[in-house]
Amino acid sequence: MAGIRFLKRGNLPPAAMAVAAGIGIPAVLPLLVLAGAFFSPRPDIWQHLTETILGDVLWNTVTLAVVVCGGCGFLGVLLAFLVEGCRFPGQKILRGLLLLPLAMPTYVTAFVYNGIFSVSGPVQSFFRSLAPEVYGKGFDFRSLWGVSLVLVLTLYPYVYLLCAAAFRTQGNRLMEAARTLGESRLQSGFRVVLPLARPWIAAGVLLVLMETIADFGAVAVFNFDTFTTAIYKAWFGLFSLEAAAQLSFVLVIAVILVVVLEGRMRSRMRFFRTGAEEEIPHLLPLSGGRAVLASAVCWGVFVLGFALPVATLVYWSLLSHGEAVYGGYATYVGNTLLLAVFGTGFTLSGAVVLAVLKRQYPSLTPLVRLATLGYAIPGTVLAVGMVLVAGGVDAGVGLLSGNQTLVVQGSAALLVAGYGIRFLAAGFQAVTSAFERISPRLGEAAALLGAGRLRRFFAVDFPLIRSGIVTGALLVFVEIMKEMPATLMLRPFGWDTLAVKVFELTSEGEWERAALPAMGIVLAGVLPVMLLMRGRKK
Amino acid sequence: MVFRFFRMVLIGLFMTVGIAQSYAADEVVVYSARKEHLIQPVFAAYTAETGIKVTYLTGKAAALLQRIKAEGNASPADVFLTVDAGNLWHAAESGVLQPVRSKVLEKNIPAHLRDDKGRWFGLSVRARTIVYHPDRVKAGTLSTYEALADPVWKDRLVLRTSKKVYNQSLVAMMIAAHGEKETETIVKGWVGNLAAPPFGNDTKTMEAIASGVGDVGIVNTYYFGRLKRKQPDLKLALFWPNQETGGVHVNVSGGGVTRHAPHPEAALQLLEWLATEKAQRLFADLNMEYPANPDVAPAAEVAAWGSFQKDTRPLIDAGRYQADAVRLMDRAGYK
Repeated sequence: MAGIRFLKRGNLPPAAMAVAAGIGIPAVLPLLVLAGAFFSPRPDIWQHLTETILGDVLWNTVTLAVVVCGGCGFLGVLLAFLVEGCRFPGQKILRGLLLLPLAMPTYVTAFVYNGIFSVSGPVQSFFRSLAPEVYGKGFDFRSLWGVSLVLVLTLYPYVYLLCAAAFRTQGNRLMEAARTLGESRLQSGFRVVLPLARPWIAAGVLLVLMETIADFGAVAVFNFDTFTTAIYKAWFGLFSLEAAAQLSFVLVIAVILVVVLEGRMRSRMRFFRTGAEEEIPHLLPLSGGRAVLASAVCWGVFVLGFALPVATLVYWSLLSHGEAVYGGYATYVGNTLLLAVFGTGFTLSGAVVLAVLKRQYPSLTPLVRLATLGYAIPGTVLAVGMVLVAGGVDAGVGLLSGNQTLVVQGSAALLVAGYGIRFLAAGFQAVTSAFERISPRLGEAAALLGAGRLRRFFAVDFPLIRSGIVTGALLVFVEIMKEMPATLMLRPFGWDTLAVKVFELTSEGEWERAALPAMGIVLAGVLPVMLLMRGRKK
Repeated sequence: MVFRFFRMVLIGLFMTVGIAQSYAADEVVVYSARKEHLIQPVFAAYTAETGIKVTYLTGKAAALLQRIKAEGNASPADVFLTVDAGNLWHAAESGVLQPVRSKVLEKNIPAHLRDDKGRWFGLSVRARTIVYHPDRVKAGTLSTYEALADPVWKDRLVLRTSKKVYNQSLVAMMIAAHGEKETETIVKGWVGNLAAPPFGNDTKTMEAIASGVGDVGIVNTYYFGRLKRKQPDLKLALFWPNQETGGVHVNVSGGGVTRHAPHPEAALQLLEWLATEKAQRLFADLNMEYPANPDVAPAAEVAAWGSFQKDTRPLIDAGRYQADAVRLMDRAGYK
């Protein structure tokens, strides 16, 4: 504990406070504006919802969250263990392939699976044609299990990514230590490495949780009513934005509770290593039946999560002959990439600064955590918060300049800021996870040698968390490309993205025409994933 | 290296802040909830004819409304276009649209398809009608929307989700016609007859009928047209209900001039053009809809579905009773 005293943690210099506030407050502002909705209570709407659908949607949301988080947690850990800790044929290439579902937006996988497995889709129609009387109506894919399957297949990479990084860097020394004590490889895996990877698993599962409860696109395709259904019903159906905002707050409170719990669990643990990040791992070789099983599981997940949806999209693209998509495909791709690049730079800058501040001054943790809550709010609702804040800013500018014009509203900067607020969580989790693997002793050593704080950061911490930054950048880049509701609402004229096009076409039931822009999103997302794969091979 | 990166981000950010956008005099700005592929050709034709540039932005109706409201007097939107009378009514009630007097619009658009205060005008019409499988259902057994609640349709009815505004408008007009209590009984009857949980869209509803999951459903005519175009051999037929009791439920897509339009005359000019023959034909044909202008004939493909008695009660009721319809459907368990 002497080292901690030496670093004088807990003393909060005003500069750090200002920076934290500079990032934290704008990030929280849309949330605060939405909280203002509580000043216009709508007891009639709350009463109606409570009497009719609220019970059902709460139950659906909770069960969906539990199944999806459990599924992603289990699958992510299993896959990470298989490809990072074992040796079997195809393991090397699978390390990268299993990341590819990151490029699939949940709503795209949802509409593909709905198209394939619905009661009128090709699979069920085929079986029905074999024995129509016996088969009858068949099964409805749009149940809890169908939605969960789709979400697990698209969201497991969050857990897989963070967990694999943990296994790769943590596993070795600890496995060795455990083995010298006589444990078998598998046992040491479960008893030692897994518990030590808990914070990364938890970080990944937290992202999955927030994505699941904020999701609207995928559950809408399946007509599966979750809490977001109630939120949009209040806004679009019952014409009350206030009630919708109040309901969103319930989601936010739930997430805050989970985050606090996770933070409590994490603070009791210490997870440092002292070595370099990349080491040659000691892999557990699998043979015979076990190798086949491992291969089957990994390839199966890849096929279901990526190969099958992509093949279907290619097929549908061909069917629609790539019909006219106005404005030109190149424009949409360009807009999407440009927004993603700026958004990622902006978000990661904020994420790194916040991660550094949190590490140095743990008392800032609540503010930092609050700033990352944008991820848990349904996209359109957060966008409304941003629109209201931007309106306020422009009104203020108008008052000062005496001239009413739109400065922030309708600008690409507002959209980029929106991405930052929305995806700060993803970048932050990745960077913080990397930070936690670094012992404070390194910083102490540098301080002892006389290095100033800033120099210490760039010379010591930064190279060590570089992989965390890269991971975070990848996650955020792909997220921005897939993002639809905030982009739809905040974008300037002529800034349609691929996701916007997919929405326009799927909301009209034009699956085949939507396939081409959907393919564009996936392909553009594959590039950063491949970059990450290349980076890890070194 | 890191500083260069940060600098790049900051510079990029400043570059993308929208400085007061000025619009040329010969330009009109449209915020549209009607999808791009359905409006772009129409606007292109307008520009070709008049030389006036149309700048447009698409999005969800409620989100666009929120954006216009937040933008206030600085909003660049001249025209707000959307789908469904409920959305148009709500836009008018929110104060986003301004009333206009126009002889052209009043002459070309029937009274029941526009706002009584001149705030919005329907531009194309779609019917929400009954679709059935001709092998398993005899047309003679069909009569009205309300009759689909009869037990004879048990396990045979398929419907689209109640969350879609088209169904909300249908039920809203039923409330206007029958009152809440009777409508609730009818909707409960529908729910009891469902062969499968409600589908996310009309196309899936029709595919369910074609594949044998259900026998009868309610869809918008243009979805029927689109599906038939893609799969002409599909066994589906249209039926026009309520011919003796008011007529088939219809709805519109349309628009109005925004309250703080920077170019209100240009906005009105665009709307008036949209109500005239050439534009009406193009606007409607793009989506297999019926022109709102009664003097313009629908496309041959659409006309082939047959003529029918339309419900001519004012569509303002679709908006006025929408919230009631949503609550009613929740109470009836219609998902």
